[in-house]
Amino acid sequence: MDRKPTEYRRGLSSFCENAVVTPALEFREISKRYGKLVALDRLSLSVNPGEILGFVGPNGAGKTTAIHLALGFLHATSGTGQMLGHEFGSPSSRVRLGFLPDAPTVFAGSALDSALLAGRLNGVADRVLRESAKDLLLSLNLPAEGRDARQFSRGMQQRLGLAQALVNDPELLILDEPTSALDPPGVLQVREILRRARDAGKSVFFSSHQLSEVEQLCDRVAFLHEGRLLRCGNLDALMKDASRTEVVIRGLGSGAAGMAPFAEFRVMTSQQDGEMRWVLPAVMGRRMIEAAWSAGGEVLAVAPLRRTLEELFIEWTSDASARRHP
Amino acid sequence: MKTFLLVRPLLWMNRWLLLLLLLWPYAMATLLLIGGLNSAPEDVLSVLKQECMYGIALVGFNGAALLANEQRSRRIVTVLARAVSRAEYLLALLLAAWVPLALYVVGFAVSACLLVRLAGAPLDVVWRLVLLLLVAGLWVASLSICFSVFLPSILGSLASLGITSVLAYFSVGGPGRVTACMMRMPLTLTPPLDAVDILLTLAASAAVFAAASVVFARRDLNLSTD
Repeated sequence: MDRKPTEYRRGLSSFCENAVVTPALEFREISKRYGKLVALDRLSLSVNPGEILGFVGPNGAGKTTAIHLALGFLHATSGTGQMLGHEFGSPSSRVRLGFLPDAPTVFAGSALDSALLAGRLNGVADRVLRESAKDLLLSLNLPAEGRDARQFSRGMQQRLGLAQALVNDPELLILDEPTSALDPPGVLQVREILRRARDAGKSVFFSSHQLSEVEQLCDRVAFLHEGRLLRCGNLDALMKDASRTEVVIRGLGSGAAGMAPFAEFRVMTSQQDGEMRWVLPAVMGRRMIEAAWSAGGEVLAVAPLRRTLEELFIEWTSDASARRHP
Repeated sequence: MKTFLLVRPLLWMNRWLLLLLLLWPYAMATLLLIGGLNSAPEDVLSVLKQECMYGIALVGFNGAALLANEQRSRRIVTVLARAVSRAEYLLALLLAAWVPLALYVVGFAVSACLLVRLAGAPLDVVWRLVLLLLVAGLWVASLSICFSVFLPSILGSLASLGITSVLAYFSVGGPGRVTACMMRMPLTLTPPLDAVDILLTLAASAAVFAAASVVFARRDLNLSTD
């Protein structure tokens, strides 16, 4: 009997509580240097079975370097890592891997030829491969035969790359900017494919600049900046930690003595007609209100501010830049 | 097995060039026949030796360019992201460099047989040249693939052809003697073909390829990252 995805995930969660789960992908203190340039600095990160981990960072952050280290295209300067139970670089680690590069390229031939080659190189038996490859191409709205895949548009090549990544029914999917060249229906389709993969217990590690994409899809997010991991965690928890509350207060003394109880809240964002407005971390909201009441002020408004991942991303990366390059 | 899966698309990418090379010896023979074949057997042999030289040059340039082309086009990513080892991949490149020579040799053998027969020279000379060309070609393919791991393609091809030429000039080692024997072969077929030199050349090719595999496995791929 088929289990519903939610049941599967519940089952997986209870299993995880009772067992030591081997991560599908694990970076252990891994660094990569090119002379004096540090492309990746002691990155430790893991992707657990059945989760989608978004790998986010500005251009040059080291996302592709990390992916290339996992795939064995590059060798680490220090540190190690494992993929599907094998050391990075071992061909065995790639048997159940699906990889979509940022700019997929193919050999001459039809889309079916490309998908078949990918499957055969991963040891998929021919008797099942042909039919499954055709079905996969059909589901991705790609012509299986009759057209050289090198003539495809960039979006079609990206979908073909995805077909190549999925043709061996992988346990782990590593996707580098999977939707960068896709039109909106294509993006929705990829999103659906990734959700189905997660519900089937597969792990997905994907890098993206499209933060709305990450926000909608990922269970956890890792932020990379200048080769360093800035934050990593459950998306809801990260959003909650970084959430802000806006508090508007009237009737406080404007002199230094009147403002003394509010020193810990540091920055007032605006002051107009005797109304003072603060935007502060949500955890400080209650203390702020109590301090206002104690000082005889009138609290006019308390509003939680919903912040987007984009805002957090910009805040964290500019904070990190300011710390590293004061 | 994975190596053979890879050779086909690698060859298919250059199919028009390969077709041209396949037809090249026929074109040479046709030109000689149109001009009326009244050359001495020595002159025919000289033409055949030139064709052997073209074959060797073809392998040297092709072998040294393959890895660079695959990295530049990033098709190497498509392949090495699968369960393919670096050694299997390099072996596929070696075969993709050598198989065009084998195809070239087919055309060479057919046209050479015709020319040699018409010139009244012994047919054995063709079979000896074919054998030596294939063996020397394997040596040059290994060498050019090895250099392509750490040198730009033009330098890799010049280095592999240069080293082979020097070895041949001084008749040094198996590869040197095989290449020299091919380029200096007289109609009398003396001195006889030395099987030890052929075996030595095959062993040297294997050793060079093994060294190339070790070096390639330890190097980063030359891919631009974000």
